Amino acid sequence: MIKEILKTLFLILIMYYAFLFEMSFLPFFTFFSFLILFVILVNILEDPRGRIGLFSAFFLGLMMDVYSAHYIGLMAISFLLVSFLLKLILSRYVRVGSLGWLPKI
Amino acid sequence: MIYDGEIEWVPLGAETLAAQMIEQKKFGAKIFRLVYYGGVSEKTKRVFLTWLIEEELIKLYIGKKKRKDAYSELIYSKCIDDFLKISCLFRKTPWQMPAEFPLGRTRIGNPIILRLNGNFIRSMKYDEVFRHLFLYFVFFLMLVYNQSMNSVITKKRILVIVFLVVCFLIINAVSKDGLKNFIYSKSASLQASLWDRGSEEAFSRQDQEKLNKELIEENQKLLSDLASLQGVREENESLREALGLNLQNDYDLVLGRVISKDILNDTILINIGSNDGIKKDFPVILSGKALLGRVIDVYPNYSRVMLITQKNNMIDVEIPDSKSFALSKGEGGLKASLDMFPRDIELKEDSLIITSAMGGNYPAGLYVGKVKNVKKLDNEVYQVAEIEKSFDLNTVNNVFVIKIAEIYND
Repeated sequence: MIKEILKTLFLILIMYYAFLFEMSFLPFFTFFSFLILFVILVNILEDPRGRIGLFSAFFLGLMMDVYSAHYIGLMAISFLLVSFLLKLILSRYVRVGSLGWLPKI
Repeated sequence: MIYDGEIEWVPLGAETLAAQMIEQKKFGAKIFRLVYYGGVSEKTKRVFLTWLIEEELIKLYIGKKKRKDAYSELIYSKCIDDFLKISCLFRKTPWQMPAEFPLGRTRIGNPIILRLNGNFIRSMKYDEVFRHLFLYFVFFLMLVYNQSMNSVITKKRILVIVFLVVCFLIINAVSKDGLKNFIYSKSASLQASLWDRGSEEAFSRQDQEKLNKELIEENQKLLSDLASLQGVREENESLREALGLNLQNDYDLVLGRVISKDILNDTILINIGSNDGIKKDFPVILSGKALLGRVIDVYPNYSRVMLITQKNNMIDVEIPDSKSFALSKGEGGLKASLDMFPRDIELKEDSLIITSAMGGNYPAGLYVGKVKNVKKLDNEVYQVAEIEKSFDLNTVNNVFVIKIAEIYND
């Protein structure tokens, strides 16, 4: 249980700093969001029953809400739902493969 | 009903429309028809119509309803297609109740086309909410059709989502701005140093030789412009003295510093907020009076600035070379275009674009950009062009917020 919490906190921390980097440093070079790509890839490639994709989608959405003019939670919930939808579709119709090396939360 | 004139009102400043009306009267027109287009907010319409009534330029047919409601009735009862064709008859005195409110755009004589104030950007936040609600609807449809997928969407997970939604609703209702301000204050120093570092890196990567050459050329051009304007300046000053005008105290400015840029939208965060006297809708400029945007959200110590390039952000602008007005329209992705420029007037490449005071949103004379790639399409009433914006995000570190006393926009 403690391990799971630590892993989640680690994921949040990494994503938080990556997000700040993307907002304050990367706009000078590109408008492409690597974090969004990361979240999409994790959601597609991980086991549909896994939770990393859900967590990462939720936290990315939450940070986008906080650091934009949106209502807090709007993008967070939406990203979470998109993640759920992706997992539903993937588990039912598609099998891309899974990332065995991703730590399970 | 026969009209003596017609005024097409594309979201605009009230003063100029009234001025045009007065102008029309000189030519003997007494009855006008006012056509509202979509995108004009209720507040703008009310401000405008109230102003016209106060100035006794019109008397509105308000029926049995109260005046405020009557505007809504007039405006929304005749909504057709994607724009509103509203007929609103008015003349100075004596007022006679019109027999009908005809629809359509009957043109009698040459219509006066006004292209003024922008800022009829629809509420970005509400649009977003509706878009997201649609997503929620799709999600629940999926739930209904995938009840067997218990491994992915369990009851526990649904409860968590519902709990999160409730929490977010409470947070937004109680202290959204306070929470955001707190989080910004924790990350501001790191973001500021990242922004500086990024700016330095980006600058060092530019082709210095080419940049120098361009700057020298531009400097020479500016010097020649300056020389030619010297005479005009002296003349201006002597006229100003003669008229007793003092225009030296241009703006009350507050210096701010950029912290970050939004990933999805053309908005930036600056480190001054309501504690520094910043209010929503205050214009934001760079040194040299280059317009950057306007404040859309204010927190105690931070503010969010919507850049002029934010999608659908419209600004009333003037092109002094052509002595004409147009709209600057944000396209998103740090791009903007010039819209609604009259077809019959020549629009030169590299003409300067400055803000116009007609809309009442920005002070006049702020530098918006230069005209590029003029396009005159056969089936369009107006010319369009790209705008080479006045700022380069790579070099934007400090900004100035103009504290203006009164704002008329929506």
